[in-house]
Amino acid sequence: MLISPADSYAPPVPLEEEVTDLFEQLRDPLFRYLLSFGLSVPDGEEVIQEVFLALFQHLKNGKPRDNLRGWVFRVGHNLALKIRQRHGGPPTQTENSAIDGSPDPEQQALYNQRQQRISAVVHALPRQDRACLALRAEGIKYREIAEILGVSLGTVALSLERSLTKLSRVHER
Amino acid sequence: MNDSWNSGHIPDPDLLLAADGELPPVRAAAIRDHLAECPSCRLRDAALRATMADVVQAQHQDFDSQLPSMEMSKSRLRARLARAPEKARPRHRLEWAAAAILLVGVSAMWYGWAARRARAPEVEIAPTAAWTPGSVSALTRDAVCSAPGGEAPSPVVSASVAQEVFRRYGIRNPRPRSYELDYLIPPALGGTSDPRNLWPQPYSAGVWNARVKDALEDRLRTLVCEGSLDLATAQRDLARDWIAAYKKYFRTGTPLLDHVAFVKDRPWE
Repeated sequence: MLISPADSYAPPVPLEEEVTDLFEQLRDPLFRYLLSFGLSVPDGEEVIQEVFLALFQHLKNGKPRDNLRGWVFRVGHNLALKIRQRHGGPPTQTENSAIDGSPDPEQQALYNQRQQRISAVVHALPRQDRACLALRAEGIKYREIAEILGVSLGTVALSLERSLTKLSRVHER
Repeated sequence: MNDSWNSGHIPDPDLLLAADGELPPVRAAAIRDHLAECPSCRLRDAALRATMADVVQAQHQDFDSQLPSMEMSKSRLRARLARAPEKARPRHRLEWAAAAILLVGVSAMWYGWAARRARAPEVEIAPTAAWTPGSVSALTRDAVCSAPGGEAPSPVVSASVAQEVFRRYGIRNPRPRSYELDYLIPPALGGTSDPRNLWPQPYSAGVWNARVKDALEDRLRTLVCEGSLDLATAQRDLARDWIAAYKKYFRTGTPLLDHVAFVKDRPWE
């Protein structure tokens, strides 16, 4: 079979560019997860920078490229755990970014009563259930969640069912 | 909400797995067939999906407004990647290398971050929502636009406030003239001198620096005072993400050449 030049040659993408592209895709989902985990915004930003520097080294050293999203979340989760251990105690709640501390009027309008109740129930969930749910909300698959949190697939499924059952009671009200 | 297969209905865990596309094709097809015939399971399926959608929305609403500017974060990463070691290590040392990177990263986060900042003022710093959410006075548009010196440099920040802002951002011994203590929302647009409205912006280093932001501030004030932009919108756009605001109001993805050399506010000394 003949291979056309277009098939046989694809210009290599510089590693820095590849990492930056992944950063664009994954920063916001990972950042939301870290904030839901209880990290402050500055800590979250620093963790993310470290994760992608580590990813750069990971790729540079020829490590596996399969499921880089799972890799990024796993490293981010581990770094966040270390930060939380250093802080000790329960996770700190992050501050709102609104001007003068009061919520943005447009955003506030979007917060209807049900959303507030949903948030309240999510915050009241056990830590692991909250982590499973936050990861699922970012589109992470069950198997990846299990790898990131270091638990079994069954634990993830049970945790999500438990959380959604509690949340669906809010939904039914 | 729990049923079992014995009852002739699909249990919640299977509905969840099916909704998330986690089941093998054969089983997923069986559940689809069942749902087509069973109103009760369809109802529970819809409720689970709606709940999950609410969770996704709640997560965005809770956290999206706190995320720092993507451009700033990306610029910071690029600068750090550019300083990353050039040579790859031999494969047999990979595990040690990864562990070292993580260890160094975490240690640096807690012990060396401030020092790095002080040594590398050229790295762009994003105003973080936690320390610099922005602060405005109750001035109206008319008051803002009739105030004398609207085009003049912003007032100089007192030494004590400056120290507080540098401390918050972990910068010790900042080099004179390296930073502008920038007002996230400038006084010319109703911003106050509260430390929550200030952050250390590299004066001329990097791409998205203080000079570029000064140009944006002037542009927004002009738009507000000629009546084509609401004052609250200008303040909110600056507070949320000034780089996104720059791109929006100048219709460009990168700073305009004139603005790279734009001089208005003075650097901190």
